[in-house]
Amino acid sequence: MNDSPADKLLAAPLDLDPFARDLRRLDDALTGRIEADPENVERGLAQLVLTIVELLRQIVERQAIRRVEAGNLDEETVERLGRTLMALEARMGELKETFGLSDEDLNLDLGPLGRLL
Amino acid sequence: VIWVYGICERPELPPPRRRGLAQAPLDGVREGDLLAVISRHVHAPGEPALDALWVHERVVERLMADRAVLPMRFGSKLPDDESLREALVANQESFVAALDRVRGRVELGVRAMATAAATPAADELLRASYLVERTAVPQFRSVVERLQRIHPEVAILCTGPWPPYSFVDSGEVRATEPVA
Repeated sequence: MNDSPADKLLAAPLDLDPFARDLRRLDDALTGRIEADPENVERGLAQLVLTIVELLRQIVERQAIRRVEAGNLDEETVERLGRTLMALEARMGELKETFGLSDEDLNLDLGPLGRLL
Repeated sequence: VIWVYGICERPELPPPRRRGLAQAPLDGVREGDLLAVISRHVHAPGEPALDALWVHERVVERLMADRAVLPMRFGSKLPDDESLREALVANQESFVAALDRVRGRVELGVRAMATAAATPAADELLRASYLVERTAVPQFRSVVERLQRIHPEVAILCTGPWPPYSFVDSGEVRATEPVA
């Protein structure tokens, strides 16, 4: 039994940033659509994005901790990981504020947690 | 509301003695050769927050420890026992066939992105799910790692093992379609 989604990482590149960037593009697109049509906010989808962002954040964090512990990170990489984490944290906060977390729209077919990962 | 975690074989085995979403006990609804593992709720539980997702995932994984399981996606709900039984009866054949297909296997996800060094945009090169014999997971992993070493211009992410969510036909999943 695993204890955290981060343990679902079987193999990962040294730099997870391409995936973080891709995720930001996804939720940017989503936010754009919602702003264009505020009467038809897809809250379930927003919640999904929140979840994925959080999952990715945990994974990046876990990776960073492992590498720091292993002592095989140069300073630049540590800094970049830190920035990625901070960007994800900030994005989480914005999304939470935009959509609220008391979402009652549970009619969601989420699929594998790994779909976006 | 009935929340469905998975549909499995060996209905004579009771559902795991653990808690489901909102701390509800797990229960089983048996129909023929199938057992649907569920929890009952007055109000539909589970915003798809990470904790809730993980509870759902853990129940499915626990089930997979001793039998083949068709994992239901997070949010699969039915109004009552009767509609669940109807779904099990109506899909009995396809469920049994699907169980044969996934037995002993797990899902692995692979994504590959071009790294920034190679192209200005982060381009997705591959997004795929693989149904893999559980015993072959270490081998799969080492192949991914080898590919990563050979191709530094690509970032490869491999996740799992997951229950075979992507290999349960969506028509079958619809049998437990969410209720409003």
